[in-house]
Amino acid sequence: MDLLFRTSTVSADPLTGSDGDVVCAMSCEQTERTAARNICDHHGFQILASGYRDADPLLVGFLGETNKYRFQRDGDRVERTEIATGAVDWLGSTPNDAGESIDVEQYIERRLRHSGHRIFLDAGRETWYGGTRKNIDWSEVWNNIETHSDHRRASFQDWEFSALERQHFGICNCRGFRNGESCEISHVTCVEHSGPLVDEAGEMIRKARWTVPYWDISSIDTDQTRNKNQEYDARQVGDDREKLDDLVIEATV
Amino acid sequence: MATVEKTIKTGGDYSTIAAWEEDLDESSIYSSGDTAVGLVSGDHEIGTKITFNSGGTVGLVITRLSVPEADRHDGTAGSGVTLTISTSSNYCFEATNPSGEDVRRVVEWLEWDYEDTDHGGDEWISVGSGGGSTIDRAPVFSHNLVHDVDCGSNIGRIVQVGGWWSATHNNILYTVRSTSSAYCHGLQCNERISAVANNTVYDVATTGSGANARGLKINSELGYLRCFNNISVGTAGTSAADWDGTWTGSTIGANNLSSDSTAPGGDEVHGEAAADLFVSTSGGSEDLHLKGCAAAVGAGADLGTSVTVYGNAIASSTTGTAVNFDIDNRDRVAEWDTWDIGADQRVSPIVTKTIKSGGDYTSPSAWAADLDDSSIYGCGDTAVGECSGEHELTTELILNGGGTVGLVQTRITAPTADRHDGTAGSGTRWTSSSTGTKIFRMSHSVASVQRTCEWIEFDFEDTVRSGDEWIYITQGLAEGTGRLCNFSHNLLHDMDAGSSPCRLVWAETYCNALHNNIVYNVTSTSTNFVYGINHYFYNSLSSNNTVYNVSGPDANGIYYYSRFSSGAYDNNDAYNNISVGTSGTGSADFGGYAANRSSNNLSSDSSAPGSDAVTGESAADLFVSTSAGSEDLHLKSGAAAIGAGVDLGTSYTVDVHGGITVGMSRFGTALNFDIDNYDREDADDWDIGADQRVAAAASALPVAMNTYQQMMRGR
Repeated sequence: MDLLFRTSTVSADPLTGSDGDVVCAMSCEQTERTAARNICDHHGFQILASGYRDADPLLVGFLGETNKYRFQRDGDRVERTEIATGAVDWLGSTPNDAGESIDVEQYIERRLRHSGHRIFLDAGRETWYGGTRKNIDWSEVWNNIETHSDHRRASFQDWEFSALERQHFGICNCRGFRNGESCEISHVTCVEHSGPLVDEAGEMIRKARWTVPYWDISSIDTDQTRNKNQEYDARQVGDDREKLDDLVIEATV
Repeated sequence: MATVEKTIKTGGDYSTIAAWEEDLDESSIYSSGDTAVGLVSGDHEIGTKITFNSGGTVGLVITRLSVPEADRHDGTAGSGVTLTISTSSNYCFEATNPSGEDVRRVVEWLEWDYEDTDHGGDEWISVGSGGGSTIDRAPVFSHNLVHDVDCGSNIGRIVQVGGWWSATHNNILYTVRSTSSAYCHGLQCNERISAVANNTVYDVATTGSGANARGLKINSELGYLRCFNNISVGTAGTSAADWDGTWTGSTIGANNLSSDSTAPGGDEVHGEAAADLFVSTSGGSEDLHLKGCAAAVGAGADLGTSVTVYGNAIASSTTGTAVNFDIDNRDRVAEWDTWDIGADQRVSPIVTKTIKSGGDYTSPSAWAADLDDSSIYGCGDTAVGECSGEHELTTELILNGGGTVGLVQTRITAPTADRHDGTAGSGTRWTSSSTGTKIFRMSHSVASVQRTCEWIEFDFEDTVRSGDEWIYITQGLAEGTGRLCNFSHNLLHDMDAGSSPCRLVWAETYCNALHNNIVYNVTSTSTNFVYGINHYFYNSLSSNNTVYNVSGPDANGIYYYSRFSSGAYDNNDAYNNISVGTSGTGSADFGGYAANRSSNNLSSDSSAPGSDAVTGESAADLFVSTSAGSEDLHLKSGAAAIGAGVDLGTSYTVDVHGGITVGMSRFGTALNFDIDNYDREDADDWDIGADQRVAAAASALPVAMNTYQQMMRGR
């Protein structure tokens, strides 16, 4: 888990930021997902002279793994395929039983006007992807990336903080420890170790629930951390990383 | 007081929104009075609540979370910056102020994708929580795309806006699900003294027993709410309504739309199905832009560039993207749009066909006859016929089609390369062998279709035929921008009506604009009437026309008539027109009722109407050539018309009966362009007449001939 934490206090008001407050906690899973999305961002794939997006297998494979449906135009109708199951239905200008309709000519014409469109031409048919894919198999996503590019999943384990973040905040990382062995911290645990402190009614009583008492952590240089004119990243490697419970504690109001 | 922009993206100033937000009180970056702008690019996960409440300690006045223009969505999922929401708390995002701090919070242009997954909380986006009775805390939530929310069994107020003077505008929210037995609201405005405008909400549904689902929930009993141009449709559940709210006397709402009968206020639209409104409601490919001829098109209220609430202008460019910009960032005001209801301002697609030998159509009549062909045109389209070469009209050309298929505008024009240069034989040319009363008519008596005819030379060949051969402009007796006619940049000449009465250009309609036309050599012996241009009805404009050599008993170069002899409605506004050389017993260059508002007209006699008129000028002193067969009515050097006109800008509003604006580029070549397509806005002063003399042109090298000029030179 990579952590971004405050190195100064804004005011005495607990609803503003305090020294040590956890700002963000990024899991390896999130880091990998973000990297995958950046690598496969359709904006980075050219629009062809035809006006359609280049159907690069890296991009198409990514969309196929992360979207629920593939849509393909057939005249004034659209064939919708649920990717995970292969189920097919047809859409048109007349609403179906679920009230769904599409004016496909207008739909495509509008998309193609926009520089961020994701319309491909596949065997002469306009094709696009959409819909929420639940339980994305990110291993399959990375298989696709590693098959069609030189990017490797193992290279994207550390969150890429900016220069400004390295100056204005503290940066460190930590590991889990279970059954006597180090382990990566799950995304759920990362999420639990960030965010505000709220009361029973859900009202915020403190800007951050968790804090990093970095001034007491030997692997973190306090002066360098607090120097806003200098970039400093206190992350460690392997078992040199602090354990989560030693690094992050609940803040007091 | 500076605006400090920071990028939020991998490799940017900050890699996360939370990090940018936390640094808002950093005095090495911001000073008191600054505006902080965070520009988000790429996709981001929101796994834990973001509290947007910093900046007050350092003294920021505005904190704005936005997206660079190049990265903004197009109103559909996946096209811009996506925030993937997976928080399990009640809020995924809260924009607020600590006690005693006054910072305006602006959140715009983000896509909030809840991924159709129940994360366990209510997952609200809360903007302006904590209330606040000062404009200095007024929040804005605009141009966002929020969708696929699964609240599970929790209540939902997916977008909740509070705080006095809050502005929620131009957002799209769709597909919200809840099994709560309490309620589920799509967009909820909790405060008085706020504006909710041009939002589109679709498909909010609950299945909980007794639960009420509301697309738009307005707690307006507190008063002074402004609620305009919102769509809420497709709300479903055991107790569902597209709209809910209580209106008090101080709350104003109008031009809202629902699929049921709950849309409030005046000029409301009820009973519209989503399938009839939106391009696509198909799961996974939702596109809530408006379809052609959707009931929401043109049914909105014009809000201008801000909404004034309780003495303060909000939803303006002061804080972020103003209310006049739609979900595609189209400026409704700059484009002279008639506002639609909802976040999208529909742009009429233009379907262009060529009219020439070897073109899409070989004659203007064939093109005009095909205007209701649904295989070519869709509802809401604009049909443009680009006419090149010479065409003979053997019968009256009636331009009245397109109403059945639902066109908004028909425009016949010449492509730029084939336009005349203000002299005969230099561009697209129509002649007539018709014996009817009229050779060309722009009209429709039932449907509302705007008509434009421009850049055509009408050569009547100085031949007497048995008819009157008028250019007849009529839209029936009904007002409104939808029926507006625009006749401009045409060249009409050598009309011999024999003994028949003649009004060469007869505008018998409300709401028309006749501008930048040249008319010369019109003759008749009729004692009935002989007019070059006859403006017959009110709410119209004639500007920068040049009329020369109209002859006949009681002839007038330009004649204004009002249906109401009392003069109460004689507002045919007339500016910068030349009418000279009219001859015949009882004739005058200008005649009829004085135009209600007029100035800077020119005549050879004393009849030029209005203020700043120029009179007593002869054609020989004005024009390059009045030689028969080589007429050139451009202004010669030293002509009195030069610099004597009034600047009309790029459009004109006829101020009576609804403020109809005419002459702007939406209908064709705008009124600021002269007969040579020169933009008068580039000149110091406007000239009178169709030509804006450009001094440098006198010594310019010959320009390349257009295709038609080349053909004519070969005669």
